[in-house]
Amino acid sequence: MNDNDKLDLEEFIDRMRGGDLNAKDMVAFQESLLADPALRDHYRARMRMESHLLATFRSAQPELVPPVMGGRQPSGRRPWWVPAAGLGIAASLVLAFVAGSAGGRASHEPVLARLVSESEAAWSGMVPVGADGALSAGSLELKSGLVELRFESGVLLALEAPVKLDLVDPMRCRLHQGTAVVEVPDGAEGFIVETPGGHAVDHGTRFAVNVDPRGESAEFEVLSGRISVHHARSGTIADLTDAKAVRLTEEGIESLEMLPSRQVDADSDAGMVRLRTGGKETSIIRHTEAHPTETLLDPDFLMVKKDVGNEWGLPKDRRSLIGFALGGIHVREVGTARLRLNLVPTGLGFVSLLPEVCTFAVYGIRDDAALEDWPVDGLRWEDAPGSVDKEGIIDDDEVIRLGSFDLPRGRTSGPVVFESPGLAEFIRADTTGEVGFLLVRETPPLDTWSLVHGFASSTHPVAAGPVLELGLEPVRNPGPGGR
Amino acid sequence: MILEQQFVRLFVRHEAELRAFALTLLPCPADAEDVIQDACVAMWQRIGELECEKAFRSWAYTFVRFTALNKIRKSQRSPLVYCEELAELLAIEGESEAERAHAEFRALVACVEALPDRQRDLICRYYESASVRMADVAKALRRNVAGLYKTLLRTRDALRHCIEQRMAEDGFDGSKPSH
Repeated sequence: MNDNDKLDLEEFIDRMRGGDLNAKDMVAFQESLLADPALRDHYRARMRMESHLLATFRSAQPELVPPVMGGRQPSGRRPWWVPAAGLGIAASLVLAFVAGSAGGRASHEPVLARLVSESEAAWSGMVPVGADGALSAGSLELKSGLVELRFESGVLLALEAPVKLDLVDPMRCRLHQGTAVVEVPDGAEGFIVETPGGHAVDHGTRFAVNVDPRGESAEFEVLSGRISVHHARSGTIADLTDAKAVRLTEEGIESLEMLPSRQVDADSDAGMVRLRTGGKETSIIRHTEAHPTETLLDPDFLMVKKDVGNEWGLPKDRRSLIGFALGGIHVREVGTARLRLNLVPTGLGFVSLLPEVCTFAVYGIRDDAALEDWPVDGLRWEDAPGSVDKEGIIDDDEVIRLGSFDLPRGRTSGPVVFESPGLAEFIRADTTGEVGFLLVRETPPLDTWSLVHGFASSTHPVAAGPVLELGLEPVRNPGPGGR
Repeated sequence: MILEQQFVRLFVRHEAELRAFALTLLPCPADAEDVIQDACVAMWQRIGELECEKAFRSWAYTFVRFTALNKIRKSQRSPLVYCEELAELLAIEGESEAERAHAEFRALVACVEALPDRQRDLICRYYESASVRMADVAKALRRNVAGLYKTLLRTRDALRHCIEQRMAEDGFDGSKPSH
């Protein structure tokens, strides 16, 4: 089949959509199909693709979730999923496919950025964010907390509340109020932050910008690299390099002493340390010997699934391991601890086959260097800390349950924060300088085809990987008689 | 004998391939949608006849095939339906590809994710509704229709290549795949 034949078929399909195909064309096409088995093969493959794409993108309809999966309907009532008169099956059949995040975006607005993590974030009004964290052009107002956005250009923006910001395009934003730390990777040079009085162009760097609450002036501080600050009214340009700072107002640009107290570090606030895995993370799958792990696991995801298997296959439970080096942290000073994860769609399995709520347990790997030294590559289920042979049983000699969190069915993306008294206590007891966690889904699915939950690993292209957030409190020397 | 709850689960599992099968027999999306809807109701009314889960697929295909053929018989004057002979032929060939249709849909979801944004946006616009015409998309994007046909063709070729690759990686050989 040559390209012209393919284009003819495309046109046929498009005209069929609109119902404006005439009988003569239809007869000619039918005769070709009847006479040519190869054309029929191509046609069937093409129509399958057509149907699959319609099913995928038509899920811009709200996702429909069975309200009563648990039992039979009372007799005499129309079953909940049977179409009511006048309704299409897709609108009334509570059986819609969930086609990963690809099908979820109803808007045609181009995605400019994605929400990659948030910490205690509270927004004002409606946030133009899609189910997969996608943000299109528009205004954001963060009342409290910290969030990170990644523009489609690769630029990472950490916002510290209170912030008012407009997303303009993948290479431009407008800051009306508040503090942002901008990280521009190679290839995204030229990113522009507009502020009162002018704008700054980033030439590949990390810099902080703060617009005062009245929106009258902006202060720029280069943390590393180079930016140029442009004064709108006069056209004056100031080049800034490492550790230089300026204030931009309607009147002009003035140099500033960069005060240590104004330096912004996205990873450490006063008394708060945020640790990342540095790549110490992996997923494991049960019955490794029966499954090619390279196709069922993906290093971008920390996959978690409790499985039941079926007559065609062994259960493919998945668990994830996450490790953090504690560096020079005095663990006795750890007052609070949170494990921050970002849930991301894996595209594997169906949400509708999950129970209404899934419980996930977080286990701490016991404080033993031999247990904590698990390999990131090629780790087999039965060799991983916490696993007993090929069974799904947890080995309490190797891990300790620190607590759990629940996720409702239907939630496949967004931040997840795990916090428990056991977590901080576990970290305070560390002696090896490293802590590791095992993430397990405890709730079995209704069927083996259920969703595989995934949390972003540190290599995930969009969402941020796991973060261990520790609140440090100076330890007072015990007084006389103190303990 | 299976329960209603089991039926729902089975329908969800096979819905994509059944829809694809219906669209092959009745290429007008609105007709195919009617067939799926009618077949689904007919299946629900006769759940008692389904003895076990394993029998669901061929049972469901039979419902879709008969519902489609009925519709074709009633609409023979319409230029949008095939003759019965062709529909029967496509049904026989299509039923033998049930496993493939199922695996293709699973792979497609991941492959769509991997498309560059512009291509995904175009696909999204065209497939958001079966009533969207290429001319509508062309107007919205200020592009010419012929160019868009070609772009969509290339995008679908890329998807097909990705799907085949993923299915090969998943060891698809016509046997029953699972997650």
